[in-house]
Amino acid sequence: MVTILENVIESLRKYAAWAYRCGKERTCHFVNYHKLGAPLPICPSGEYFKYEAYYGSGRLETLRAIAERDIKEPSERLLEIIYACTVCGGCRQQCKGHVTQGTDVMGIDHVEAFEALRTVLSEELGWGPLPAQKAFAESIKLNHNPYNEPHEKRRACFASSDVGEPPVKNAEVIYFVGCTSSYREPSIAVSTVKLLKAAGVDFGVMSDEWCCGSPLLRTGQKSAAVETAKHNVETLKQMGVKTVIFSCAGCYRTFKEDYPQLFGDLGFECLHVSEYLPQLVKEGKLKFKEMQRKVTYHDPCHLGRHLGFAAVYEPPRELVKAVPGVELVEMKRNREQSWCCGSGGGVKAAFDDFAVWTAIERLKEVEETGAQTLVTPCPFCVHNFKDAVAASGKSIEVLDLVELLANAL
Amino acid sequence: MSRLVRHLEDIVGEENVTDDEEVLWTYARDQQWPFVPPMRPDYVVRPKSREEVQAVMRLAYRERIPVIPYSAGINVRGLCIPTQGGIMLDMRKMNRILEINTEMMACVIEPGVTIAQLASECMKHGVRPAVPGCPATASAVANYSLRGLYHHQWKDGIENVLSMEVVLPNGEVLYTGSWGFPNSPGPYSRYGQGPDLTGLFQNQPGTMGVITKMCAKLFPYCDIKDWVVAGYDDLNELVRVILEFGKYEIGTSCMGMHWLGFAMIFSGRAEDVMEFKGTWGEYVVWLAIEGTEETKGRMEWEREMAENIVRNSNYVAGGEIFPMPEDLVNEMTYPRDVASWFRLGSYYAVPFFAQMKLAPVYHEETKKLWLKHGLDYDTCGWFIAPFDYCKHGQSCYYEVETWFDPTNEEERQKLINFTDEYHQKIIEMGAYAYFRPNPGNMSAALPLMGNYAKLWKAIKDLIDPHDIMNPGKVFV
Repeated sequence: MVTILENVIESLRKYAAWAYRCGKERTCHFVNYHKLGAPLPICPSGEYFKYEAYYGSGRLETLRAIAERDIKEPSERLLEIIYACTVCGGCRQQCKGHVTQGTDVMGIDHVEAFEALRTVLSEELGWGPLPAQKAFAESIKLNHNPYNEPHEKRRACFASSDVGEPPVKNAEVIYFVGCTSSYREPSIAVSTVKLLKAAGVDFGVMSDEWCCGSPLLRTGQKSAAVETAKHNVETLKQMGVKTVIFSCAGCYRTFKEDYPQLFGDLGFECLHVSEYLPQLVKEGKLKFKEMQRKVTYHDPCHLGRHLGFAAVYEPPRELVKAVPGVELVEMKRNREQSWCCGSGGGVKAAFDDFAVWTAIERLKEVEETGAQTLVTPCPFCVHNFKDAVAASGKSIEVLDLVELLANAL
Repeated sequence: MSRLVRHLEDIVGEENVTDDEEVLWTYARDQQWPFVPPMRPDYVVRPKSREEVQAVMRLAYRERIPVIPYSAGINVRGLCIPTQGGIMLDMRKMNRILEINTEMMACVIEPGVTIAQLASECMKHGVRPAVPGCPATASAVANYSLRGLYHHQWKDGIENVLSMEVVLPNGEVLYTGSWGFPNSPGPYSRYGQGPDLTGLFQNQPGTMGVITKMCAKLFPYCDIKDWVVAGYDDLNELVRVILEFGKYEIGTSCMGMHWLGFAMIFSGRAEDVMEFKGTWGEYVVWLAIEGTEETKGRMEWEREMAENIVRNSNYVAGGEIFPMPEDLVNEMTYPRDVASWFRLGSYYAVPFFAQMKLAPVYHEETKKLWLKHGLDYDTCGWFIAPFDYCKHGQSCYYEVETWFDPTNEEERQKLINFTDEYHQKIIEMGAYAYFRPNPGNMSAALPLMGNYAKLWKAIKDLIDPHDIMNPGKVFV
C-alpha cells in the first residue's frame, strides 16, 4: 500500500472542495437541453463506460476519494476512470455560469481538476500515466514527436507534394505545422501551405519545430511538457516572429492557453488558420471555385470549449460558406454543446476502442444531417474520424477545413 | 471473484456488475453527505429489463442482501445512500419511453427516463408531463413515485402516477391500478379494484419493491405563458393572495417565497444575490398563467382576475402581468437552471406538507429556531407552493432552504443541529407530514404515529420480510 503524502493531499485539496460542492444533479451528463430541446449526452466517457465514476461528477468524486485517502492505491479500474476521459470539457461547459463558492471560478472547472489529478498521479504518486502515454512521452523526448518518427523527417511530407517545401526562414508569420499533420495527416500541412502561398502570404516554418507538448499536458506529464514547450517558445522568440499560425487545434490551444500560464506573455500572436484566412478571403487574396457539396462542421474541443470566451466557432464556418456551392448544415450538438471526437486527453493512445466508438457516435449525427462530408479544423479529430469511418463502414468523407479549402482553389 | 458477483454476472452480464471500490465510492455519497453518512454499496448492478430485475431480486431475497434502487440519485436527503452496503441497482439502462398516448393523456416509461427526456419527447406530441421543480435530469419514475413539487398544474395536485409495474422483493411482479384488472384496456387509470395499491409504493424511496414501469399522467402543452410577480412585506397578505388565486382556480404554477429564493432565480452571480434584499419586499409571490390558442378566452379572464387580486392587495412591488421570459418558460418545461442555485453553496432544504394559512406561524417558529442555532437570518430562505388548489385542506409544500459552505465544519454542524431540532418542531407546529421520509425525520415521527406506523410496518414486513429493500430509510 502506498502512503499518500500530505503535500499530495494539499495539492488536491482545492479540487476535492469542488467535489463537496458538486450538486450531484447530473447537469454535466447532458447538453444544455434548454438550447437544443433534448437532453442529448455530452460526456463520451460516461456514455461508453456507463458507471457514475466515468462521468464528470463521478470522476470528481474519485478525486475526492484519493484526496481523502479513501482510495489508497492504484488499480486498473482507477487508472481507467482517470485516464479514459478525453478531458473535452463538456461537463465543465454544463456547469459553467455557476460561481463556485469561495472562488472566482464560474462553476467547477473539471478540465483543470482532471489535468491536475493526472499531474499528481504522474509526478507525485507514480501511479500514472498509462504505458501507451509513457511511450509517447519517451518518443517526444527522443524524437520531438509522439509517433516515434524521426525528427529529421518532420518536413518530409512537403517534399513529396506539388506545393514544395515551405521556406524555413525568420518571417513575421510562422506556420507551426504540428506532429499529427507532419507525420499522420500530411495533406493538412500541405493544404495549409498551399493556401498561404495562394494568398501570397510571406511566411516561414521553424527549422527545428518540436511537439507542442499538448499530449503531455493532457496526461499530466507536466515537466516533460515544459521542456518541449520552452524550446518552441525560445526558438520563436529568437526568430522575431509576430504571428504564429496553427492548423492543429491542439497545438493552438496549448500555445494560446497553456504556454502563457507556463511562461507569461509570449510576445507573439497565436492564430488558428481558421482565424487567419477569413481576412485574406475578404481582401480577395483567396478565391474559391465552385464545389457542389453538403458539408457539416465538427467543433474541436481545443478550438471551442477549451478556449472559453476566446472560442473559435464562427470563422471556420464562414470559411466553409465562402466556397461557392458548399452547403453547410449543422449537427444537433454544435459549438459549445459539441460532442467530442474522442481522441483527446491521451485517450487515442491508451483506449483506441473507446476513441473510435466516440467518433462513430458523431458520425451517426453526421448522417442525420444528410451531409456527405464532415469538415473539422483539427488533424487529431480528422485522424480519429477516419478510423471511425473505416471501422463503421459509413460512407462519409472526412476532411480538414484546409483540405476542403485547398481543394477549392 | 466472489460467488455472488458470478451469480449477478450470469443475470445481467459481466459488464453490468462491479464490486470495484473505485466505482462503489461514486455511489457512496450524494449532495447531502453532511447530513447522511456516506457508505459504499458492495456491488453496482445495471439491469436492462424487468426480467433481469426479477432475477436480481430473487437472488437478493434468497441471500438476504440489501437492494437500493437507484434511478438518478438526485434528492435532498441521501435516499439512495446505503445504510448496510448491498446491491446498488442502477436503473439508468432501463430508459425507454414505451408509450405516449395523447388520447389517454398518459405515458408509460421505465425508471431511467429523465424528466428532460420525457418532456422533450412529449413536446413532439403536443403534450407535456408533470414537471417538477428539480433538475430535469432526475428520473421521472423516481420523482413521481416520491411525489414532488410541480410546475405543470397546481390545481391537479401532486399525484401523477396512474399505475405501476413493480418487482417485489421476492422477484414476483405486481401490476397496480387498472393494469392489475383482467382484460383491462390498459394501465391508464389509477382506480383499480379494491384498495389503492399504487399508493403503497409511493412516497418512500424503494423500500417496498423496484418500479420497472410506470404509467403517468400527461397534460396539454401550453404555448402561451404569462407571469405575474408581486412583492410583500406582510406574509399574511401574501398567503391571502395565494388563497384568492386558488379560490378562482387561476394559474398553473404558483409560489410564495422569501426574497432570497427569488433573488436566486434572477441574479447571475452569487455576489449579486444579496443586492436583491429589500428591492421586492420581504416576500414575493409569482403565478404562471398558461394556455393555448383555444383557451385564450379563459386565459384573458385569468389575467384579469390575477391582476385584480394583486392590485387589491398590499403589495409593495411588481404587480404587472407580462409574458414569461424564455428562460423561465424553459425552466417550467424541463428545469435546468434550478441547478444554478448551487452557486451560493451546497443546497440545504427541509420540506414538509402543511396548511397554507399557517405559513406565517411556520415562518416565525423557523426563524426563532434558526437564530437559536446561530445561523444567519438573511440566508434563511423558504418558500411555499400550493397544490390541490388550496381547496382540500389548503395543502401546500413548505420548504426551509439555505446554501452553505460544506467545507466549513462549524456551519455544517449548526445546520445538523438545526435539522435535528426542526424535525421535532415540524410536528409541534402542526404540519401534515414530512415531504419524504428519511432516517432523520422518521426517527422523530414514527414513535408518535401510533397505529398508522404499526400498520405501515406490518405491510412492509409482509411484502419485504427480510427487510432487503433500501433498509434504514423509513423504519429506523
